Amino acid sequence: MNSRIKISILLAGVGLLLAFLPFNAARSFQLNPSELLEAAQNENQSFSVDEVARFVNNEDTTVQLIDVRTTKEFMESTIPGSINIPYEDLLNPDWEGYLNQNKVRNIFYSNDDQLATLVWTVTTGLGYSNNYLMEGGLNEWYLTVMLSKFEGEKITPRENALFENRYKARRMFTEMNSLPDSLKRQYLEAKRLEESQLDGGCE
Amino acid sequence: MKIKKISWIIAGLSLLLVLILVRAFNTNLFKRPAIDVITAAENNTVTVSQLQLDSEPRIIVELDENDQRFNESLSIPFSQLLEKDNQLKLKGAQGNIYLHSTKAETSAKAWVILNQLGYDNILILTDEQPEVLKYKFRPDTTVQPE
Repeated sequence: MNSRIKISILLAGVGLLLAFLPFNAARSFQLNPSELLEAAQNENQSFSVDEVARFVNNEDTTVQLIDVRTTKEFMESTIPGSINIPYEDLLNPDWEGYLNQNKVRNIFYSNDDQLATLVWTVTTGLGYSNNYLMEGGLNEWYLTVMLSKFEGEKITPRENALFENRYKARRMFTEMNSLPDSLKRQYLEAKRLEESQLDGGCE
Repeated sequence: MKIKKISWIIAGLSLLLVLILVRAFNTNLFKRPAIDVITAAENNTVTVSQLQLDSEPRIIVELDENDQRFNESLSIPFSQLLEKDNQLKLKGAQGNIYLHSTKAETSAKAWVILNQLGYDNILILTDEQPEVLKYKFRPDTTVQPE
């Protein structure tokens, strides 16, 4: 058998294998189902709205709040310091730097728990680490941070600290979201620029 | 000599084929692209009130271990979702499969896992329409930009 025939056989064989190969050019989950199920049962993967309020007040650089709602909803109102990664755009390679990293804890939120949890499960399945959820989403944020009032007669130091934290976050939320759209956009762009510079990237 | 060389090539290709087949039929791997979750995310929810309108056959899967709410539902605790018996029950189900849990996170996580395992007929059953912002932000008109 001459070398041409041998090469032809080899190529035909490789072609046959490629035809059977369950390869998908799109990104797929890196964790296997058992690993993802185990990760999904871990209870230390969410923060309460009070904890998030404290991160906002302290301008904590070890967390990144990620609003996964649509851009329109994000522009209407969002938690100060958040960036917007709409869930439809989650797999856009532009967001890879934010999502696939080991430096900060990404806290996803939406209006309630469902959409943010879908995003959490996808990012965790893709093998990204540091994924967290804000329990109850923006509905819980409004209920607890924006609308709660102390109604007792005597306030304990602990309750005082809790309500002070909520009041401060409430004021910051109201101030930022009351800005005209153009200024809010500038504020958010500045925030993104600041994040990318801290990350050592460029805009 | 030449036949020996060809035999080696064929042996190598056969080994590769076996590995590929093992991977293709390995049930402990996700096979779908992640984009499928995003594409389906908008239409995966059904509320309990809508459920009354849905035609049978259907199956309601309760994911909470000690909290059964529907009659004639199938109890599959979330932690046991991937067990062989439970997977057989889900694969054998006719019509839509509705996932229910008192915690929205649990049903959303189960939905993603099952979607990525190749199930197309999975929906999340909720008490009310999810992802609706119940509050309207009222801007403070006295805020002055710095």
